[in-house]
Amino acid sequence: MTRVAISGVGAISPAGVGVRPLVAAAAAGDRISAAAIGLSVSESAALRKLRRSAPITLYGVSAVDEALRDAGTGGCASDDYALIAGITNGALNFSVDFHKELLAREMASPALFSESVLNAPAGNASIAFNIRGPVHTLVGGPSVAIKALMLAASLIATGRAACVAAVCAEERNALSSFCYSRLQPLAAGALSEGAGALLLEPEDKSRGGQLCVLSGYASGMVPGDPQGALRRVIDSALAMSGLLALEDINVGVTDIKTTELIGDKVPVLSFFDVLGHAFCVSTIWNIILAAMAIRGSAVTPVFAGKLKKYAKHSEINHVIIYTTEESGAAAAVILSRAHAHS
Amino acid sequence: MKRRVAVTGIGIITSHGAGAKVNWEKTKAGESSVTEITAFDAGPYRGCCGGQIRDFTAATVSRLRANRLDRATHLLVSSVREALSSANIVGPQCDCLLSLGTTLGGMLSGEAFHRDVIEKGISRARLSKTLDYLAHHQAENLFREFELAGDFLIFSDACASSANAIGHAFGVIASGRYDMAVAGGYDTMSEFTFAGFNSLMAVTPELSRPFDKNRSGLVLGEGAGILILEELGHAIRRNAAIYCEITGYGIASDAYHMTSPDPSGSGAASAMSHALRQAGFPDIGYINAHGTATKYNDLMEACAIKNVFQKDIAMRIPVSSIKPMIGHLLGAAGAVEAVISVQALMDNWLPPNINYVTPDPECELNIVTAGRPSEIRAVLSNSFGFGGSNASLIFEEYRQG
Repeated sequence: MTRVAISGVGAISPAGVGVRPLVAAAAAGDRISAAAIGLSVSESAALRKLRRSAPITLYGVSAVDEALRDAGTGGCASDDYALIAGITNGALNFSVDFHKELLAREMASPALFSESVLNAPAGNASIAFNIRGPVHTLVGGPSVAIKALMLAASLIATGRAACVAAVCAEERNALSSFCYSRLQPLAAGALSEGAGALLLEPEDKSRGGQLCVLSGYASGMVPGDPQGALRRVIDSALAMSGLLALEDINVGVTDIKTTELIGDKVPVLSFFDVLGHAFCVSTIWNIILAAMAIRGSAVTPVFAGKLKKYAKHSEINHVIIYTTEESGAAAAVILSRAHAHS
Repeated sequence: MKRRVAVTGIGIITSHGAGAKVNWEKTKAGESSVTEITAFDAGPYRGCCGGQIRDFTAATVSRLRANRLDRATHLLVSSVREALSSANIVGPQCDCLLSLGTTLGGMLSGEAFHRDVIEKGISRARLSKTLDYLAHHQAENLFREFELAGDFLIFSDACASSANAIGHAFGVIASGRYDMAVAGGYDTMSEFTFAGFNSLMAVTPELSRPFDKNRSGLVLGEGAGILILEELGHAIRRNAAIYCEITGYGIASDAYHMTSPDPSGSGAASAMSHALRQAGFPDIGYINAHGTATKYNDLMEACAIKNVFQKDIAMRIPVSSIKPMIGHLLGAAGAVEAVISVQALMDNWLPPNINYVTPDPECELNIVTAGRPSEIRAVLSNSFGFGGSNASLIFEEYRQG
């Protein structure tokens, strides 16, 4: 089976534009202000054409742009480049504005409509980077980030795509902050926004700057039983990875605030207190941070610190990123150092 | 050896009514179920008609609270129940993939919530309305109602959403990841969408006339379509009736414009070519066109079909769009049209492209002006959408061996 590598990463978060500030924030461990992300369309050539687009589109395109540059891709002008986007809430701000115009019986703005559809970030990214292969938008909670990765990996495994950008993006507004503070046990101000992107390629064809490989992944749904669903997807991901036991995984990373171990064996990290909660984007930020920890970056000591505390391993070779939802949806992905992958 | 994938069940609800039988009878007869919209005041808009579903308020649910559900969930429950029943699947399910497409999920709940916020203020808005607004909640509802096991995936690729959901399900069964999938799509008639297409000047005040020289835009509709897909051996072992096989799926993107199709039709042609190649270039006896009746979509689709098949062959393949009868169902269009394609294949009948009067030399195709019998061995169904999404599916008659 074709092994899939992460060859580039991109991010935008309340910590700033780029993976570097995301990693620095995670390494410092200090809570990032919930202030809106300041992203100017003059940041890049890709963004300059998107002046009329929603913030979620700008975030997504910015992250994909960085991931493509990080991987050293020269361009995407062929139909074997693909893009998979994961979205939870979509373009909240444009959606609210369009409803306001609708109720005021004003002539609704066509741009507010077309830029508020759920596939606007993916559609705009495909135009910005000339991606002519499969372009999909998947909708879901935090697990949809891993589902996007899985779909990307399957496009590579079946030969339909040679290179896939997987991106998640979310934007926040006053309405979503209010709703989620009432509906979910989130502290006021904990809602976050931004984007994360990964460039995926076959392991043997990635352009040298490979961060790690996807050694195992799974997603599933057990209605009303998130813990049961989580056990199931972790077992499936582990079986796929070829690792012999759960203890072979060095660290787990999840999107919720937790101090629990996985199966009483694997220490777990959470960056919830640092980055807040941005639904599927939180999951993809965790994947990026894990990949950067494996490659070696400012965040590596944070992961290594967990190892010293709980385990006998001294090197970070395998990290599991997982998420569960109250509905019973769960997903997990195991990232492995290339040479450590069995 | 590649696994074959069978269609073993279908479910559908549109403005024609609920159920495969009534939908096929009216489609065969070329009956229009496009009427004046009563779901909201369409007076201020360019058009006032659409494929609104009448005489349907709620599906029977046993494990969900009916009054908490968006209309989208009700449409889905109705069509999934019919599809499972027609596939003779009862009780808790084995592991399956639920693969759905939608453009806007529970938009009617979203509209109601936004209306509350704007009119009453944020603190007095009904938060319960947001629960079924998000698209993945409809999938979670189906898991609970039908005691499904496995996983779900929600595609939101505009009007190609459910064709992609079906194509993906086909792929995961063919690759061996699942033996069975519940695949399709849904969308409801909402003022948000109607106003949006109206603002783009895409809604017609007249009849929808795909490929006609005097076409002036689309009419919107609502509904849901579901296919039960199974690995052929799995279907045979449980003595399931096999409707047909799905043999090809192609997807490609325009990378051109958010709302306008690439006039060259290269993305659409690429999607059709991929599907045909995967299916082994079967003898296509009918093309169920995307055919929205907008000026640019139909021109692009006609161009793409002629490029893929060569003009002389393209002119021999019967082509029709069913959208003038039930409206453009957006995220549900691919799934509902897949169900109709399966029925056309099984019944050897070409559905008509109603309201077609004046041929457009730029959209020169073999348009089916009146329904008629025809021996059909393979059907190609096209779906295209905002953001340059293009998807094509191929269904073939089932042959043993």
